[in-house]
Amino acid sequence: MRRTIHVAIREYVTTVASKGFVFGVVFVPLIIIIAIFATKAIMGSGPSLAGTILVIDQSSGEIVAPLIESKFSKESQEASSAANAAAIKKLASDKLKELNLGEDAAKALQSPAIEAAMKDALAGPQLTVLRLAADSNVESAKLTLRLAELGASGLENGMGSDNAAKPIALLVIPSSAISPDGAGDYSTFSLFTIPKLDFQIQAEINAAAGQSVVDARIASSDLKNDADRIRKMLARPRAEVKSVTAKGETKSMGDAAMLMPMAFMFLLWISIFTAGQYLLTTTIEEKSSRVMEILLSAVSPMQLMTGKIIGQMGVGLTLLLIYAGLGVGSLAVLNFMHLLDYTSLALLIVFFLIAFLLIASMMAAVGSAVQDLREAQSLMTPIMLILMVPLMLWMPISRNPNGMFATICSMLPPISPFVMVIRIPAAAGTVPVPVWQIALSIGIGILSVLVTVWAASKIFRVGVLMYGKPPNFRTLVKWLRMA
Amino acid sequence: MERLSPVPVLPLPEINCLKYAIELTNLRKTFGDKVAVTGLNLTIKQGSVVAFLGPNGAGKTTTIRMILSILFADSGKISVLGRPSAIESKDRIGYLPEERGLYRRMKVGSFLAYMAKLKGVPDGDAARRVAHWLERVGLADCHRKKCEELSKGMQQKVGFITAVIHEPELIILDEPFSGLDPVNARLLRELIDEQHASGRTIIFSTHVMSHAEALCDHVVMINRGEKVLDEPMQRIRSRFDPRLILLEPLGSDDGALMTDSVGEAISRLAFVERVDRSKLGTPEFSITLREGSDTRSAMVELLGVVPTRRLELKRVRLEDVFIRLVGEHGGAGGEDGTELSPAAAFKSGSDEK
Repeated sequence: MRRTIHVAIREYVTTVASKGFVFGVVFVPLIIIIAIFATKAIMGSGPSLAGTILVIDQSSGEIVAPLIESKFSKESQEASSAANAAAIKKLASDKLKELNLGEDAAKALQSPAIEAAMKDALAGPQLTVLRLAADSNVESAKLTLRLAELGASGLENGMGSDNAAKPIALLVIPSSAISPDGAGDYSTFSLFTIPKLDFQIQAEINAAAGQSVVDARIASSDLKNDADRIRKMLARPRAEVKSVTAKGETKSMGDAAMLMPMAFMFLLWISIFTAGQYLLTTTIEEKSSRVMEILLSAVSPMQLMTGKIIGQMGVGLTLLLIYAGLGVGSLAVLNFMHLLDYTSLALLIVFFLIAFLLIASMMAAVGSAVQDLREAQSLMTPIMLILMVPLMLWMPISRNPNGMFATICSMLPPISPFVMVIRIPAAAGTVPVPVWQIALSIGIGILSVLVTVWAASKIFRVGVLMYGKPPNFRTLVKWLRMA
Repeated sequence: MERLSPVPVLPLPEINCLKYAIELTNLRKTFGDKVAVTGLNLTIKQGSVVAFLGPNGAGKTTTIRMILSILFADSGKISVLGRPSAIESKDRIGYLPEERGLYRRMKVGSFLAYMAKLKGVPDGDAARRVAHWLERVGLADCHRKKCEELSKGMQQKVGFITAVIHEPELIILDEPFSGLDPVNARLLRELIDEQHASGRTIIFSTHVMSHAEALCDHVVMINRGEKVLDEPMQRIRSRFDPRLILLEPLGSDDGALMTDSVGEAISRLAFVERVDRSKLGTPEFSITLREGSDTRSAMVELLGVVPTRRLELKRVRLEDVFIRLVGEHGGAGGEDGTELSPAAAFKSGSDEK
């Protein structure tokens, strides 16, 4: 026991004190956070595109084009961004009220700085509308787009002209789009764009044109006096989803309900994968540097393996606690603590232990059998596949955490701990996972841990002193029976 | 580095309770369908220094590993320091394996302290012993160096320290001299002698017979997993009777002509099988006697035939015994292992090594 502890301490200290670990633990989350903020910043600003939309309005009286023009006028674009800002602000303050953050937060939201930032963020692309004559040739207008594209490549060489005047899209509104045919049906309009036009701008142009066509249809019909009423009637209502539980009505967790299982599973996955990888490499290092037999003169293979697994379990737990601590901390800061319950956290640790011991003993067995990482690849493939399964399953399982599929998966040994940590938080909002299922899963987990550790120790004992041809899976099975 | 009081090599407290440090009964080990050790019986007396010899692939390392419970025998009984398995007495055994390496990135001092702690040296004592031993082998300035910075010979000495730092009763050294220069080989011999003087049992394997001759009081030789020799050094010397006589004729400075006639005179004697003349330096004849001839009368007769400055009955060398025994049993390739026995072929394969 004393020896096992010495091995474990060395394993833990050398791993945690290594530059790689410090880098991984401190810098990788930092990079992820930066990446998240960077994506947000990029997404928020949108492509700062300027350009001209060509419109050929063939409708009688050319009534659509002015509507489109007004939609893309400076005032209108500013107004719409202001409206968006207001909507976002309202949503935010509603959420804040729900979270009981207090008056200060609500006031902070009203500060001019935030308003300015929001206005900037919501400013759309600078688009202008250019009306072409109703009888213009559509094909020659298309040609303009094509030429504009060539001009764009010329632009990079410093030969380009004014960017804002560059045509980016062509709208063709046939008269039949406004005046119905004999059966009362309307035709649609056509939209041509330069290639690779940002999808959001395409959608914006499409929506503006569509709305303008509808408005023009109403205006040109005999219902033109009831335009407002028709619009109000057509506005589609949306309800706020509330789930009814024994404790009363709560707002459905929606997205958050999906996020918690994912967070749990990734916590488990990353800590186990990292520690398992470390176990593999340190075992291979001991073998390839031939320090193994010197170690074996002091400890038995079983003690060595146990010590190494315990040491790396400490590494995995350290990772888990750091990341979970960060997660819980940020939840606390954002006042989302109600999403978390402490039983799930405790169970996360339990399932971590089970999953870690399963994966780690396999890693130790593989590490003992080979001489370098390259040789380990082929034997690692099945373990990696097992580790990939939960990543693919989290979506279906967190959507139906108490379904037959989820229940069965949470009892299947190598993946059961991963599935269980998806199920528990996913089901927490609705029908919690039955206690007997959790207990059974833990029981099956412990049993499979015993079997795996036993098998791994057999392979380990034979493997650590084997040098030469890298073994395949069949050789490992042979060693199982041999030792 | 601060000077620490050296650790005296202490005599062992309870040495007489056991007669044998190691008893192997009918030990057998196979790898797959290849037999590495076949029914080996061996006893090693407490306090002796045993040379464990044999050609490559003879099963030496396998036997040593079984003694240490690193491998497990298929059948047979092992008793190490009175226990059925070395696992129970690992702290009382020191082992320098043939496959020895160090943690490359670990500092020499912390590696040795770690090994000492693994072998049951109390935490407080480990640092002192590490310092003492590093100084003893002349590596006092390597305490803070990383293991990968050491030369091969230095690493070997560090390996030796791991085998003795916990003051074991039984020390097993697998090829301790390989890769050492003459200076370090002598140092190691001194260290082994020192350990022996304090009453410890030492077993070492080697291919360098001169080391074995200089150190051991008992020789065990195995070939193809079987014991072919298990005798005290002295008895080997008398049993394998010498048949080589060295003769330096008197007045050999006179020239080649005279030595030629002396050589001719010797070769005419009835008991002489072969006469070789040294080509360089002082003229000297190596006279190989016919099998069964009486050594003593042969020497007297030689004195009568040739005026002699020096006449010497050559001691039997372990190397000759080795070659004779391994040769008799079909030869497993000798020291260089060019010709592989099944066991040797196996060793170079995937399994044992």
